Amino acid sequence: MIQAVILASDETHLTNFSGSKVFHALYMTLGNIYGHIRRQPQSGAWVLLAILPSSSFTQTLLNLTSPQSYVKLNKNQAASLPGILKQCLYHECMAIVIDPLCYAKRRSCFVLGPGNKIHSSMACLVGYIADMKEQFMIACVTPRACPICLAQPRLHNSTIQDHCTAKPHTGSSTLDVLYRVRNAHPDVPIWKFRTLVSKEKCGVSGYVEHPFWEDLDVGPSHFICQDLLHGAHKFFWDHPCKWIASLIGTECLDRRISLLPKEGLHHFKSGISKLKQASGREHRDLLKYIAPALAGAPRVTPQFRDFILALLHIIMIIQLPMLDDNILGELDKHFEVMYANADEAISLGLRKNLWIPKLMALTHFCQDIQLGGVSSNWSSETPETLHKLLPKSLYGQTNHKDYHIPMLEMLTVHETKRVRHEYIQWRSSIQSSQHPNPPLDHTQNYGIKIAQRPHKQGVAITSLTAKSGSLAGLISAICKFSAEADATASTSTATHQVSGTYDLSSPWFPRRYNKLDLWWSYRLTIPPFNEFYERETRTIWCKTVEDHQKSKWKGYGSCVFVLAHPKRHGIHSMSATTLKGP
Amino acid sequence: MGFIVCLPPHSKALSDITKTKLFLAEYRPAEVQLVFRASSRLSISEDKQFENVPMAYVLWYTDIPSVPSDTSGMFVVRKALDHANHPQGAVISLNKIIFHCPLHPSIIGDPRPQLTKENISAFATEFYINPFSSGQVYQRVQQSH
Repeated sequence: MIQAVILASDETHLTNFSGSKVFHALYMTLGNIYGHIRRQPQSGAWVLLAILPSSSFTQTLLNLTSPQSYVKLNKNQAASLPGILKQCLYHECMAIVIDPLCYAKRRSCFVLGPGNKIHSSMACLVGYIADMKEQFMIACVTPRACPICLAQPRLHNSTIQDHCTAKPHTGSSTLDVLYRVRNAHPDVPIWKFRTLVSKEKCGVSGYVEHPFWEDLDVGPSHFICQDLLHGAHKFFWDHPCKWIASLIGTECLDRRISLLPKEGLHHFKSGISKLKQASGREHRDLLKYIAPALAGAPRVTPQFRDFILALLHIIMIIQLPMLDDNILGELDKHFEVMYANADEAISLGLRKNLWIPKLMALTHFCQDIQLGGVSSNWSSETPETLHKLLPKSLYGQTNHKDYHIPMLEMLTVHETKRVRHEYIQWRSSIQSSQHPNPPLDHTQNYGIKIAQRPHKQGVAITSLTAKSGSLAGLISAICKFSAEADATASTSTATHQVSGTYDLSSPWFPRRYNKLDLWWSYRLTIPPFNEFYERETRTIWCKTVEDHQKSKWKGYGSCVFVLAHPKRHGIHSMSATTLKGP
Repeated sequence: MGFIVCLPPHSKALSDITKTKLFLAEYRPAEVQLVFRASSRLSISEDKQFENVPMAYVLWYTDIPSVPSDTSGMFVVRKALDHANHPQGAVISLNKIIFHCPLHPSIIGDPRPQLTKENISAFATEFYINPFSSGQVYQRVQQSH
């Protein structure tokens, strides 16, 4: 059995508004755990594996640039030295942490696996979740290169499509460059070594001579995973959104977005330009408004619209919880449309070039999906949430001085308590399984939930139709509904043709509808599209709402899909249901 | 407050429709105007067979076209009007409302100052079915054409 080790690292500030205490956390989970459990931060699927030291080496820089320093560096070399030291420190620490995963030192061990059977198990690094800045540091490449492939975006005649066909940036290709330079110049110090490596112009940074993955049997192109949060959602917020704002005007975009009905958790009432700080949720919700806001906007060319729509389709597809060959085929088509229209951003003067690492890396999502499953497996959203649960909450319980050791001690206590709690739960579940409960009927979770007592009772239909113009056709509609219901209930084959406009004196109008009981809203829960989604619950609002209910009302009736042609394919037999009592 | 629970087993209908890719042909967008029933304060003894269940009065939009619009990349619908240019409405059983429709009004050019979120749907002539509103809507809408 392979234990698929997934690592995630990220830097976070321990204090929110003041101070510069930085916490570089390294988390670990296993790919063997179900994805939906792994995505829950409080499920215990993630552990804090290490705290990586972090320093900006400002004192080093000061000492080296002082006249008394015995090491003579020019200005550029001195400026690059803190970065070199920071990356060396990171790789040295990581080498210690992942030492048990190295090819030469890896040993199998026996663990209790599924079905209470003993399995021989071996741990392998299969994924590393990090933001783009850290991906460059892990792969030891410059920010202008790609950590996954050997495409060189800034070379003459290169295009963003090169990333689709370029060879992977394997660990051996990076190490070859480093070894070659070191063999040619065995005695140069690290700051000169970096300059020599950069002269090779192959995208390797040269900040680190011995990367931590040197002794692993996988290279960074295999274990670095594209991050959905930064690589897709934040990318759209940072780049295409700003292009749209510069094209149609910031005020126009804000106004168009603010006029659209609410979708998701956020409604951008004042647009997006005035938001000072946006979270991942806002980045994701913005994608829901862009397509209708862009349609019909001034100065938008068809090519630019197709480019943005293709990007939206790509981001939408890569975050779906289940993908098959058909959907991946659709994804390829959207990539072709995106590449075909990408130059429009340059033609419109929005960009000088399209060498944006995250735009170029979008194609690597497809490779990740084919190799390691859906992208939600590799989102940094869970590790980002873990910052709040683990380091930040533990730091708050310390005296804020020499906090590392107390934090680790508290973490040990918390972990012990959690493991004990889960063991007790597991034991009780085994005991209760001897008396299994009847299986739950999940269809009970779907349907309509409406208040037993109407929100307003005994309202005259004439007052309703007189008050609201949109209800002018209510009486005619009741007549038609009643006639159709009579025709359906009747045993005779004769049908009544009811058309035109009717009033209360019409023979088709049932007298019982002279006074009505009204509801302003009800809850509708729909079954998921497939087993990878959760059921969705919505409040369906009526357009006609009394003043005292208007605090939650959006100002318009909910738009819904109605089963309009049920008889054609016999669906009426499935949808014919009755309301049951409480 | 107590609740009445309606049990439309439309899960089966939905799954069948997504399999046969008839989603767009079978469903029609509408705006819910009123949820009502005949008042329970009145005697309904005249019709003992009558089952007094809540119903909805909706205003129809036009049928969903088979292909998305060339100009927006989304499916476009309009308010359905009768021969006298009045909105087409209907009373329907509540269990025919299958799920929420992400309908967004089209805004052509620079939006006029008097437009607000509340009144824009009254002024708009076209409405987009926004497939990007959620993953489930995306799969249902995009994979059915």
